[in-house]
Amino acid sequence: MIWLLEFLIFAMTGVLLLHSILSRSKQFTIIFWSAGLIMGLLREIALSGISGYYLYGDFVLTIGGIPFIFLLFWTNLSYLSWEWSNNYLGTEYFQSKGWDQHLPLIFLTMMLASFFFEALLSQFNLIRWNLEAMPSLWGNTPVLAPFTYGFTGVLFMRSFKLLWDKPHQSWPLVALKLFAIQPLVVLALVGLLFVTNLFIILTFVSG
Amino acid sequence: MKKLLFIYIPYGAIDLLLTAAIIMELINKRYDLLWSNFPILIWGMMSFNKKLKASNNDLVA
Repeated sequence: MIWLLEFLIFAMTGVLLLHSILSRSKQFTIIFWSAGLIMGLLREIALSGISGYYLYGDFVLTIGGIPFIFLLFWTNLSYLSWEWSNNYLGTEYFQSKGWDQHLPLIFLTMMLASFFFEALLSQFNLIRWNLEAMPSLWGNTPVLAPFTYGFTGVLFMRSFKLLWDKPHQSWPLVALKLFAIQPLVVLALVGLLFVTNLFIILTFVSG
Repeated sequence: MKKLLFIYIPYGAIDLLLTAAIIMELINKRYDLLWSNFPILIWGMMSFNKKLKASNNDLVA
């Protein structure tokens, strides 16, 4: 069943890549997914490799011990949440001003997607959380997990918009900014939010 | 028809995984996990509905 899950996420990625190429451009698609992959890789190294918040199950395709579908799926979710919020509001996020209604909807989509995905992974023990002190939703998934999906999506899209949305930029410069700077900035902010949330939840739990 | 299919792609991508998740949960008798699929399904339907209405209005105009 694990190979089937991996295959479905590859199929999902293919379909979304096609949608992005047809609705935007090939260059945009390459940069968006590449930035997402780098960001996802750093995120998994930070949360699983260094912090040890969770361990992976027996995935078929891995890169340095990190399941490849994790990198793809999280980028796919960001793209989906962006598209869904655009469709619901009837406006394009990249043309909106500052912090508007798109970001809460992106957060909501990421959070709700984490519900079903974490439940799906927990069925096959594909992710084993080590945060035992925290209340869990299902399969030992801590209540904090959906929020980290949401925060990661919002920060990724917000920083992507900031770095992308500058007139007269050359493609190599955009690529450099999105591959090198953006993942680190997002990761630092996610880490900060994660620690803040952890502190708040632990205060309530222990109090 | 082509336009409708194109609009549906971002929703269909999640529906693909949701269908697999629900089937796997039913096969494994994990009925306690079934509820986790519905929030995203409902939110997706709301967003898709809005997009459909907007595209219909564009066609009429």
